Amino acid sequence: MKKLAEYIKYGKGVETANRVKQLINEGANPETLLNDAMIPVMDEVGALFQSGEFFMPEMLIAARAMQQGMDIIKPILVAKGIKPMGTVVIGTVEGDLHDLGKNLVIIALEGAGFKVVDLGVDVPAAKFINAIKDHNPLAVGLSALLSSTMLVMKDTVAKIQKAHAEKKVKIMIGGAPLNNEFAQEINADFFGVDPASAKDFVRSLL
Amino acid sequence: MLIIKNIDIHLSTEEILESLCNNPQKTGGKKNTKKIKHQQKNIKGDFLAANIVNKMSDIVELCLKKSRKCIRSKLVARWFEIKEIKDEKVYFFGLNKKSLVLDLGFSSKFLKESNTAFFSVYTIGGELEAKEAKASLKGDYLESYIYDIIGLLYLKKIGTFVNEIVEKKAHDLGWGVGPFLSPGSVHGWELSGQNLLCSALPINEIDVHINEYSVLIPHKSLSCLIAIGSKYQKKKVGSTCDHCVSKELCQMKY
Repeated sequence: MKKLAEYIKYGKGVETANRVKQLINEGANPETLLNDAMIPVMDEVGALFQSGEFFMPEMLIAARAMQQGMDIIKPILVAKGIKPMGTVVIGTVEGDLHDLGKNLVIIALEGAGFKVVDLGVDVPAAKFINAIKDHNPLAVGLSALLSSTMLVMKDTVAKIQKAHAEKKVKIMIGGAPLNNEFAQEINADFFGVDPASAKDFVRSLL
Repeated sequence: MLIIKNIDIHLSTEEILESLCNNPQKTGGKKNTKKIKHQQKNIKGDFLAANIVNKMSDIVELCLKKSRKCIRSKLVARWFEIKEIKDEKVYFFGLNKKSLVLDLGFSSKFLKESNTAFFSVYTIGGELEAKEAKASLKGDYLESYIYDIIGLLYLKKIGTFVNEIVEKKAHDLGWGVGPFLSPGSVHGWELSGQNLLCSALPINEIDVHINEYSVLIPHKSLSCLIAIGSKYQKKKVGSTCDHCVSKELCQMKY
């Protein structure tokens, strides 16, 4: 499993997939591979990125290798009836086309074993509301990078909370111009300063 | 009025790789060539890390090849004379003597020494960002990120082309140049100011429009204003980073 973790860390996708296949053929439990090797190494990759030891491409290559391993493991987990730890709906608010920050949060969440429903960019409030209804997520993540779309975010949060008043889905927000004060002002539950904090927040909801 | 619909821009794999290795998180936004060289040196002795660089080169080369087919570099620009600056508002008038007032707030101070300003909007078109979005939605964030970087580098090169136009004009007149000012990117000039700036140029000629959130579409487009004047000392277009309130935290600082 140490080798598997190393392959993911250094972005060796083909080797990751082959190692996963090999370990499963040798009788390893896919859940153990996920929980004891793949998720921890993605946590480590996230921490290395956070500290500046890893560059963005290195993290993205690691995430791609993780994905190649997951492509082998996922069908086995599904066949066994094992569900993801929880679901998160995520998207960039209407009018905003930036998706890098959102994608980094997706990588952190998927790397931690969550299912992420990515609604993409320029997402109207109605699409968030419908996705929450369809997927019953632990949390919904809204991203914005522009000062002009921060106002759209405020409106989107209000509409989600009105539409799902009983369910009280947790709303986390992120994006360069945002901060804790803005999260409080628009009644969001959490402001994620980075992908790791967003992941920790969702983990805290379990 | 200047309209160019096919700016010849060359971008190399090496330039993209260098940009990818320039991690602003690590360096506080400062360009860190020492770090890059240090990393490349380390990579030579590290098989696994070398594997990453080799892999990046292949992906970057492939993405660049695909990108070249869909870059549509276009520019629209126009010179405006500066009439006066009052209460942080800058009063311009163009060739037809029609006046235009821009509220630049704090950033109006960068125009105090100016006589004339070059307004411009430029773009690389929307095809590359469509590729970027497609890659992102299928979960290939690496490819999406590389397309993003490629787009930004092409845009930056058009910016250099714009700077050279301004610098040449200033040189011919024996003047100096002011900093690069773009609404939403400089202190005091909000993104909403982009509407007024763009109203002074026929941006539809280069297939750019502005949406209700004051965002230029295609997304990889930029509007800017660069002033020249007899009192400016600098011969090259500068930045306003040293005056920015976010200068300590900014990851994009020059």
